[in-house]
Amino acid sequence: METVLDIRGVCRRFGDRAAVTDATLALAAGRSLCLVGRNGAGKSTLLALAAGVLTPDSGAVLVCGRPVAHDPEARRPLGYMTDTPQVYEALTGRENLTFFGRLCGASDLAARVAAMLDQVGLSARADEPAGDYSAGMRRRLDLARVCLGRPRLLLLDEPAVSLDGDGRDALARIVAEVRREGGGVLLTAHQADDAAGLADQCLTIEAGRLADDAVATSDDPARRSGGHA
Amino acid sequence: MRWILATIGCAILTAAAVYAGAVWAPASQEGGNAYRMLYAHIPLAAHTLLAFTVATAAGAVYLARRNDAADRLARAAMACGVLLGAAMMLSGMIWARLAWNQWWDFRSQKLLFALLLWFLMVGYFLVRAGRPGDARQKTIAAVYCLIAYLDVPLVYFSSRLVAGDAHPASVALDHWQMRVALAAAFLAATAVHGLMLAALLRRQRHGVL
Amino acid sequence: MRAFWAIVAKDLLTELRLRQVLPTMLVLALVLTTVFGLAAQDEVRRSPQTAASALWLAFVFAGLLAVERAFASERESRTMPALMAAPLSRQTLLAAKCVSSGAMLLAVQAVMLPIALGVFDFAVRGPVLPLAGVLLAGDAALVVLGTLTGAMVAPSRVRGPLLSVLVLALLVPMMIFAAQTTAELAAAGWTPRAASLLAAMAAADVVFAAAAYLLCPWAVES
Repeated sequence: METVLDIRGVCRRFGDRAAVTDATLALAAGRSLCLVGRNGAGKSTLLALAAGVLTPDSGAVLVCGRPVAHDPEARRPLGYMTDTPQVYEALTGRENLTFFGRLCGASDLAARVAAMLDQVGLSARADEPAGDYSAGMRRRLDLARVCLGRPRLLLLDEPAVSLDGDGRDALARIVAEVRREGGGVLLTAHQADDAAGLADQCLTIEAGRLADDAVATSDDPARRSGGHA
Repeated sequence: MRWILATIGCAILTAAAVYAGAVWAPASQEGGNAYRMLYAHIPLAAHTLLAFTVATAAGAVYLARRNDAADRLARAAMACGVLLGAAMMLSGMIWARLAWNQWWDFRSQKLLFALLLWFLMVGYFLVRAGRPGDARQKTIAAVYCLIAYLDVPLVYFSSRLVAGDAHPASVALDHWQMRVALAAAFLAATAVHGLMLAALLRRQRHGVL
Repeated sequence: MRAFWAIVAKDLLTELRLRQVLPTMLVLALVLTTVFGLAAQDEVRRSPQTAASALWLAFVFAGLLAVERAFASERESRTMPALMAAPLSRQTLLAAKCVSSGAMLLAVQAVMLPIALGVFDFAVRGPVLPLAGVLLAGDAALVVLGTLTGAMVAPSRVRGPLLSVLVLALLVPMMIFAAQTTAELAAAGWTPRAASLLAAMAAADVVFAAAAYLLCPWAVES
């Protein structure tokens, strides 16, 4: 089975603090994995490293087989959502999506934007400034943003925060669709319950190290290691 | 013990160079006795630029290899550069005072060059202020250093543009004693620079600076 | 290229909607022109050097506002991670930000230049094209150095003052060239000296742009 995300021995420090230590993880196509950990455990840092937003001090990150750190094209198949929504308040919801769609080279952009707005339930307010949106609406817009380019890898940092029932349903549908089309999903949460319906495996991260305790809910666990070398 | 010997050695060399420049070398035909500040100014200028060059090269090595030793060298070298640069400006000001009876003149190419160069080097420490040991801070300090170094030729030519011909830049060293005095000054400056750099690197290793 | 123009269009559209930066740049340039005019009115009228220097100082301070906002605005809207994770190179991002800042600066200069020429009683002899060349060459150095430095210091708490100090230190030599060239155009028109000064500025711009291109991956981080 194709590996969508391959993290190999990745380390990253911020000053004297080791944020991620010797992280190794492989996510197969069609799988969804949740990183579970407390605040400051390194979940967001690992996700940022996977997205190519941060450069690892050592190790490598490959997305669909291509190193993501220095190759912009390697980032094309991925959609990355942080824990705070990334929207331009002065632009409307539609303009936000159109802009990000142009960045990722999405085809048939206008139709794609309309379809995503519909999928996340924002069509009615698409032409209002994003600055007027509630926190939940900004989260939905962010979700639409990461799916514009039909990503093969979704990286979602605490995606369910601020979402109501409809929002969570939309999130679950999007995750299922990406998996169905042969993509992979890596998300983070504070506890395993938050990932219910979104991930079929949970992996604990503690003090920057991936624990050796993947809770697999299917027969085909993702390859992972961690702990001490 | 080594430090004491090195310091004494530097002091002796400096004293000898000062004597050679201030007393032993004859007065110049064009510059009278005021020209003697050249024996301080030229070696200080050369070593300021050398310190800047070393800091830039070390910064480039840090960017390429993430080598912390290179970053420490860059910081120590730039600190030397700032100190030597200040001394260079001071010597230039004393020269201006002796030659043209004014402490500062924007029409003096050497003073303007010294000042603009010194601003660039001080900027390095503004970039480095904040959380010490942060890898991001080391990276942007190295990037700033490289950009600032590219500015040095512009600094030189722009100071010549502004200065015009108000104060002639060069003095002819036609007597052999003058050349020996300049060589002695260069030797002393090299020794002092080396000692400063070693002392700063040592302080860094002990967590100071 | 599509991503490049998308970023430029987004920045300019945002500025047109919010109108935060352009009016402030214009007012700052006007205030500085007034201050210089008041402080040295006879000298400014008599000497093309002084007038050109005052003009470029006003442009530099106005330009600093634009370059400071280039990456600071992305940090404030928390959109840097999305830009960094997008399939575009850091160089494309930096270049787009330079063009956005440059466009705003040119807009301010288009308004300020006639005003300043009137206030300083400053006439440019000979063809106008060389003056446009000087403006472009000076602006290029300002936006390239300013935007790169802005990207580096954007995470800092004191990024505004720090950026100003660093960019001014880097830009002083280039601004001396720009002022000298402008003064030469005013005093004597398009002379060989003006041509060689402009060529030197253009060469420096090429060097700075190449350095920014190479150093960009280290300078731009989320």
